[in-house]
Amino acid sequence: MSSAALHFLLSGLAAPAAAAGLPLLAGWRPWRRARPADGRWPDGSWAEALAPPLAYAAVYLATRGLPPWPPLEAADWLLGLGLMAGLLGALDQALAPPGWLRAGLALPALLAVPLLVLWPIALNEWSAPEAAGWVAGLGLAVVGLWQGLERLARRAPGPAVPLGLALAAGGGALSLALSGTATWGLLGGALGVALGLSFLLALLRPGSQAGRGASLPFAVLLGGLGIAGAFYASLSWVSLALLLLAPLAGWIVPLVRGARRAGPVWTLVRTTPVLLLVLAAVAWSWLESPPFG
Amino acid sequence: MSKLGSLALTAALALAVQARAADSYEIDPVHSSVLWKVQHMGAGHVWGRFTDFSGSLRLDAAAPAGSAVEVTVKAGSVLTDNEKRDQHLRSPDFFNARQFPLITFKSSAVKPTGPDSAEVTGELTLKGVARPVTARVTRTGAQGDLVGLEATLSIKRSEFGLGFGVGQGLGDEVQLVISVEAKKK
Repeated sequence: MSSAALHFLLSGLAAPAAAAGLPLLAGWRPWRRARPADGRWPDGSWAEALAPPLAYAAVYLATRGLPPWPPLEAADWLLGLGLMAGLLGALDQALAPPGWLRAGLALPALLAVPLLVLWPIALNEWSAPEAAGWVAGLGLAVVGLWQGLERLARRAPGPAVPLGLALAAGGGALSLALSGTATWGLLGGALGVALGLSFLLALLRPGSQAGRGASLPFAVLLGGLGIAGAFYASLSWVSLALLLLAPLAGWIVPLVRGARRAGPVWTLVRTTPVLLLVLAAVAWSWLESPPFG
Repeated sequence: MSKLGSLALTAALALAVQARAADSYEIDPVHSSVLWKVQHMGAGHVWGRFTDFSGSLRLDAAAPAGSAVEVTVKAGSVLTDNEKRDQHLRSPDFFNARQFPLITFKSSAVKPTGPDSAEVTGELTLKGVARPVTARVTRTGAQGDLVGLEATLSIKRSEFGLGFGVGQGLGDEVQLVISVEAKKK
């Protein structure tokens, strides 16, 4: 095996799997059975919030080393923002605070994404109105993504939610890699690994509230990577829009056929629209990518 | 590359025996080149260049230590004659050219090492990281208001935050060659 392939396996798969797997196992405790008293499983939705940013951090450390202070690039800012979003998401799931408090804590983290990712361009290239417009518009998009996923996970929880997020993150990773930045592709892939593990554990917990915890860190990290990819690499706006809309396509089947249907077949049916949009995003990135030869 | 340019300028200052004290020169980008090479897969070298750069130098023949060089290279102008590779080089994996559009070199010391050669030390700023570097500069010729210089130096790209692929087939050491023709202002 070449050193590059070994490096990819260790830093792109093993490291994020270990970093995300530990909290997920601690949260969902798959070796435990449902409580005889009420038939409830251990609720690991708090761990779903921590898994993506920890996986991101593992890949970051493996590929870039210790982060600079102050942060220099988008990937540096997203490391801190992602960990903060993960912590907020975990506290949200564990303590179930009132809605106004949840929004009050989440909105600053979400709005900071375009602000911190784009500040070098805002400083060097844009006028104040241009900067305000971009930051506000993309901030609204990230908040909308978070709210859409949050409501979906509460209305129709289950393995289909983390599976849809994992597909979108995996598609984001491929699109970023095709757009010229392999490191950010690995960071997006870390989210896919974490959410894929969340999906596998959710399969062991039918009827659980799986998927509720990941919406905030997902919106911060994939939204941030997507925005950064569009402005600093060559990710097309079409691919970015498809990637951010893809997980929200998980709404389609619950709206049409009802939210309470469960089972492996319905999980696949629910995630089919997500998969189609993800494939479209990756195909668009591939078509726009210049040939190597 | 900017470092090279600035080194060249500094060397020009030190070596231009025909120049009067503290003459100012401007790099002619049409007749100058900023080239680099890096090893690929432990085998051959990949060569690249920057196509957009500028710079100025002040040559003090009487007191070379008082000479000065400043060079600016646009990171987005990197070219290797392969569109996919150039896109990757401009991306955050390497130069992150949108966020860090300029590579700069500013000399701080010139040490003559021979009648037509010198060592030029200065600060290279690349991808937001500033580090001291030293180049060997040789005067290649002079004619009227023109002076020619060639500077060579090596840097470890990982020290400037461009560590992508180091240890996985791409070399860390980048060798730079800056060939400059400068015209007296």
